[in-house]
Amino acid sequence: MAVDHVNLTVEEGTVFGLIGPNGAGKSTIIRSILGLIPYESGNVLVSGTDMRNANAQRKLKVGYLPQKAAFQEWRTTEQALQILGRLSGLKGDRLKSRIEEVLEQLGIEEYRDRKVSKLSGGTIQKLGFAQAILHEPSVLVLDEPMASLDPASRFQFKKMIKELSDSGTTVLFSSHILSDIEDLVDSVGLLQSGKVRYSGPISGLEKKAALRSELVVELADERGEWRSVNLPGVDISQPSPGYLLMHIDDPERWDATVPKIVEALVRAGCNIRSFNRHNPKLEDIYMAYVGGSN
Amino acid sequence: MSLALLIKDEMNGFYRSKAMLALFIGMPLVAMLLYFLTPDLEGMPIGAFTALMISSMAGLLASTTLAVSLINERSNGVYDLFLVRPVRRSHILLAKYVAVVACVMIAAALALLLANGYDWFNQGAVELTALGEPMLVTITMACVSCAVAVLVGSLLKSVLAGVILTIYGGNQVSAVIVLTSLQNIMSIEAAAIIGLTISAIVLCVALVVFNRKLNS
Repeated sequence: MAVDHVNLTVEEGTVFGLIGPNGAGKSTIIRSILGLIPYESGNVLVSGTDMRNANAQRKLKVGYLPQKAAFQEWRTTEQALQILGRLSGLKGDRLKSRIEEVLEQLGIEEYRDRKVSKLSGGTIQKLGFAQAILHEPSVLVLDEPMASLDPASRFQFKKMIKELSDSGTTVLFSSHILSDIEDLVDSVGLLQSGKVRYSGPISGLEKKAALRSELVVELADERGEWRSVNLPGVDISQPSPGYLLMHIDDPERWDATVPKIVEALVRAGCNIRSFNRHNPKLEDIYMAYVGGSN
Repeated sequence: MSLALLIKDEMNGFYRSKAMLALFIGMPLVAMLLYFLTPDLEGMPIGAFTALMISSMAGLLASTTLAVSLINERSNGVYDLFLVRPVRRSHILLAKYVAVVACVMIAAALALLLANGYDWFNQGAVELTALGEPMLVTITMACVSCAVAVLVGSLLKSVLAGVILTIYGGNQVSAVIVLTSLQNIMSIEAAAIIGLTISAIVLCVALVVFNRKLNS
């Protein structure tokens, strides 16, 4: 069983990030949301509609960009958008103007008459994004949308997702590129081996992971007995000469603890050049979750 | 609504793909070539010869094309983008089937007309009613083999296995049905009815399969 007892809620108008290592079940969840694969029990509802029902798509417009968007190879870029637009119910001038808009938004106008079989992977992905937003869906589902893109295109995708979200589109996207998630999402779901390990706002993930904030102290010289400093809830190590790394177990008590650390270091004879707070990145949290169970 | 759109789109696809070229130009050409190269035809007119050729070739070409495109498109995930839109799974399959059978019919009619036109030009008189029977045979065979192709295309993942099964399962079975009439076991009409019934049943099974295991 790929996915077991998953319970996730995506609020309307928000951006939700589904993260997890390869094979965690991200695509499986996405495909069951869209009604593309059967599931044994439970419900997946989008705005209260079961997407397995063929009529559901009539009521609710959903845009979908698969991990690898595929089109029949005999089509040109424009023809691919034409048939998918028509199937979404777009017609005539409206269809034409929408195609112009999305081609321009994604910067692929020059490939308009090129056959899909002659497009590069990145351009196909852009075409995939174009068809996903062509019919102005209220729900946009993106499965690892940026995995095969260069940095410039990645930036472009992020900007577009941000704009769509600002205009009220609900966006659900999966990724294992964590910096993408961090910039964009309102809340995250962390998946591992088909189970939800966390679901909620990113800040909550930080708390739940109980990751300790770090204080980085730069020393002016090698004098000072920092090893003798012993404070409860503080863990000192030296990752490289001239630097001390301090983990504080309870980030809530940061303000009370930091002056004590500094005081103790000075008393131990350390010459402090600078100190800096290092908050846990999503990357660290992710590793703490995923790595912790192995 | 989506069905009509999909059929039109499939026809468009066939028109743009090379398979169509083989069907429309290749078939009459091969028939002609074989006619002139076959040593002893006992005075058989080219019209009758082409009819024979077409009934065996048209279904074969169409069904293998159908099976291959179905397997490829399924495994690439082409249909996912259709299915998140108001499109029924069954319509995707039906559209493919209808489009291919329609193309075969047009191609067969074209080849027959060409060959008989040649006969008419050379001999002056051609019995046009004689065109009915080969057309019926061709259509029956195409319907049966394409139905099998659709089933194979919905079931298998391997293109090679799909082609082999389509040729043996589809084409040979359809030949068996038609041969019964040539051996005078039953009339050609009866054979056609049996053939069309079988294709309908196979098509229904294919639809059920396609609905269930599109992506697995």
